[in-house]
Amino acid sequence: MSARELANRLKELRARHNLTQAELAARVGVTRKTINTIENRVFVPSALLALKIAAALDVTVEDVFTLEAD
Amino acid sequence: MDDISKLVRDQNRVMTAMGLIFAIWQGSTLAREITLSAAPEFGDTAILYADRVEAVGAVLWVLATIALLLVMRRVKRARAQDVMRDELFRHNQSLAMKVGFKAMIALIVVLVGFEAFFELTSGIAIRAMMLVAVLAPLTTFVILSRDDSAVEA
Repeated sequence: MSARELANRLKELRARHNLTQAELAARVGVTRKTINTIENRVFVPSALLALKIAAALDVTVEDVFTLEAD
Repeated sequence: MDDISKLVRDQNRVMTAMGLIFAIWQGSTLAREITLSAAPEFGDTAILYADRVEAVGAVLWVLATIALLLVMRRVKRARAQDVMRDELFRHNQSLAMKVGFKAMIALIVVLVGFEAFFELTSGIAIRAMMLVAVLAPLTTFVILSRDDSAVEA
């Protein structure tokens, strides 16, 4: 899957929880750059990491990630 | 900048330095091999300069290795190994290895083509392969791991 196909609302959800990229990264157990590249649609996370991010933001995976419509 | 990002940045700086030192160190040896093969009349000068650069390169390499070990110790103390070797790290590592493999194949094609027209010693081929095998994946990994993204709130 190309990173361009996977849209996300990470930035919006982070803002809702008043979390910086570094804070979310610490909660999930990855580096800040990993969160940054996911947020900017450069890197596609694994299902496990997507689930961890969703859990950290207290939402479902579908709330965070969606497939880009053609 | 958070502590993990600082550790990643320091690790990348040390790796960049190691790459540069390796290029100078082994590059001088390659230059000597090429000079000896292509222009033997400059052999003495080439050996003199290459020996000096090699000696300095070897000392710098040892210092860079010590610096890397110190960064690794900081990573261990911060218990940051798992975080630093996360998904993106493994993804970048895998991409760097692929680039290294392709660069090696490209180099072999170039060397085979080169051999048809010039005399190619095993020393030149080995040094060139050593340089590409180390520098292509290392450079790719450092570029991919560079954290130049703005810190977003």
